[in-house]
Amino acid sequence: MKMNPTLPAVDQGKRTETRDAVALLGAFCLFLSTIEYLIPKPLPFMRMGIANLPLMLALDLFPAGPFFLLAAIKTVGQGLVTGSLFSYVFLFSLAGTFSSALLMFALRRGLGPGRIGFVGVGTIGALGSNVVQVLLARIFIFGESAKYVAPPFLAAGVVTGIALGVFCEAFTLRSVWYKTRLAEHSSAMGNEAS
Amino acid sequence: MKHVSGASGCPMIFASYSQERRSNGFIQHFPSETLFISGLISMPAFLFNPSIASRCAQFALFILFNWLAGRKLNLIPLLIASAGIIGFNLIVPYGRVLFTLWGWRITEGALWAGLERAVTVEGLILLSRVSIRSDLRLPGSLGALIGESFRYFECIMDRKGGIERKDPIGGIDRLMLELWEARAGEGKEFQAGAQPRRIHSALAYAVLILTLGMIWAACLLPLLFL
Amino acid sequence: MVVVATVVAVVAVRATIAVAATIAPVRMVKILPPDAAGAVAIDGKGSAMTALRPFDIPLVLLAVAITLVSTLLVYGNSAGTARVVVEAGNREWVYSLENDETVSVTGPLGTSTIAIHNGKVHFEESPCANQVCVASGTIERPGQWIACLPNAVFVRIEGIPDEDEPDATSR
Repeated sequence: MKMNPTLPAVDQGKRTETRDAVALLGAFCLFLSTIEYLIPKPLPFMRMGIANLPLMLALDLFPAGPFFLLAAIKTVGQGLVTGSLFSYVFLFSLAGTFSSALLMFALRRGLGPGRIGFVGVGTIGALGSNVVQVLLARIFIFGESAKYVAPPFLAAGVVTGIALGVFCEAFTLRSVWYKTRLAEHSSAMGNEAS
Repeated sequence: MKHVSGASGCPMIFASYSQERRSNGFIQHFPSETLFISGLISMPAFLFNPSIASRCAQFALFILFNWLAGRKLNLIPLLIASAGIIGFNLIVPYGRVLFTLWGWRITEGALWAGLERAVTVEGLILLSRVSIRSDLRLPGSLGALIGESFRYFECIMDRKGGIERKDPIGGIDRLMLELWEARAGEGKEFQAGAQPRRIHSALAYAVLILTLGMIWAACLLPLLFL
Repeated sequence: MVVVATVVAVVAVRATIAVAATIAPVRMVKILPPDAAGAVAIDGKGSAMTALRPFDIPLVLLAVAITLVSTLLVYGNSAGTARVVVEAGNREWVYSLENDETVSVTGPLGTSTIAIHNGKVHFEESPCANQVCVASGTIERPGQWIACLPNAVFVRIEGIPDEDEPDATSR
């Protein structure tokens, strides 16, 4: 546990571990946001979902509160890193990320990891995010002709979702960090349930 | 700057990454919070400006601010994005036909709508870029948590180089474990890095207030007189 | 009709696969670089594989279906959106039939006003003597037109007629 003398007792450590894990995953969201920012996109104000990858990993690691907190960190952090907090980009990112987070969380918690893997969750999450962004684009940027952008954008979302899902499956199979955190969280959930 | 070596030797050099990105310019001497609030104040004045011409003037001001902030402004993606927005708006014709291009009618109403949207979207992006500096600290517990994320982020960026090539999953996992171990050593005594030289002169702030007044005047004057 | 048929077909396919997937054992698909410490070799091929869960494939198919449907909707009908074209002299105006609009155009006699309302178009008022244009009622189908000849104002509806509607006839 932490050696810092200012921290209180051990059960506080569990909450702080969750918080630290959220912060760490948030950092990777920022990292991926930077990478995503550098990739030239035909539609610069609409976001691809690469930065949602840590969010997908977090699906089984946190209860609902910290999970959506991570989504908030990812959104605001992305706005800070790319310097777009005041623009429509942020609005798109906000709506896309949260709709994606909601869908993924509902599916994963509703159906359980046994019935739905990261591929399905990621695809629906990416699709949901992109659908919401197309709707917003219709209102704010493109007008009626936003629909012409929809099919390739949705298709890209499906492809991204599948790719992210496969990566997540691979990662969770091998990552030691992930398995440790998963064990911690499962035992925490077990303690609460019993 | 403070060097802290965690158990695994991960040097958390705060502000090293952001200092590379930090540019030199008159505007950069204002504290981050001031810039952020200024941007926040300017945003509605820009967004709700009833006159497109006036909005273009504000847009020009934002370009000027970016230049004053020393940020290199790449105009090409801006122009391409604007062209794209205008193009998409022209697809659905509306209003008086100005001319016909390869069978597509270019209409006045659609053109104005496209121009307005392009200026608005790009202007907000420019405003964001100059108002938000990477070392901005947001208030509240969310802000503190974001600050922590940024600290880890700095560390990641410091070593992003040759890690992810051959074995990306293993590399990422090792990095995460390393950062996880390192956090145990650093605790809460880790303070934010040094800010750049601050201007405390009243003149600078007067200029800032005057500028904000100008931006709001650009919004209010058309409201009153048109 | 085409759209409805597509959707039904896709849903049927998806349902079949969902049923089949829940019955069949969990399928292994992707190959990963083996990890020395924790290789998960499931079906004996010696390399770590990803597991697809039962709902993955149906959901992915649903996503693909949604994308395909959107493609059909957007690119199938786009050429046929109805437009209202107003001509006066050598000037031209274009409006959508779907949004209410009031258009004022000036001709040699003065200003004619055309109203687009609820998908129908008619002359609201016109400075001509005989007022034939105003009396000629409304148009709403591609191919139809009304005009104020004295003021040299022509209004027509362009576009491809909807399949389900009867053919356009000009009055």
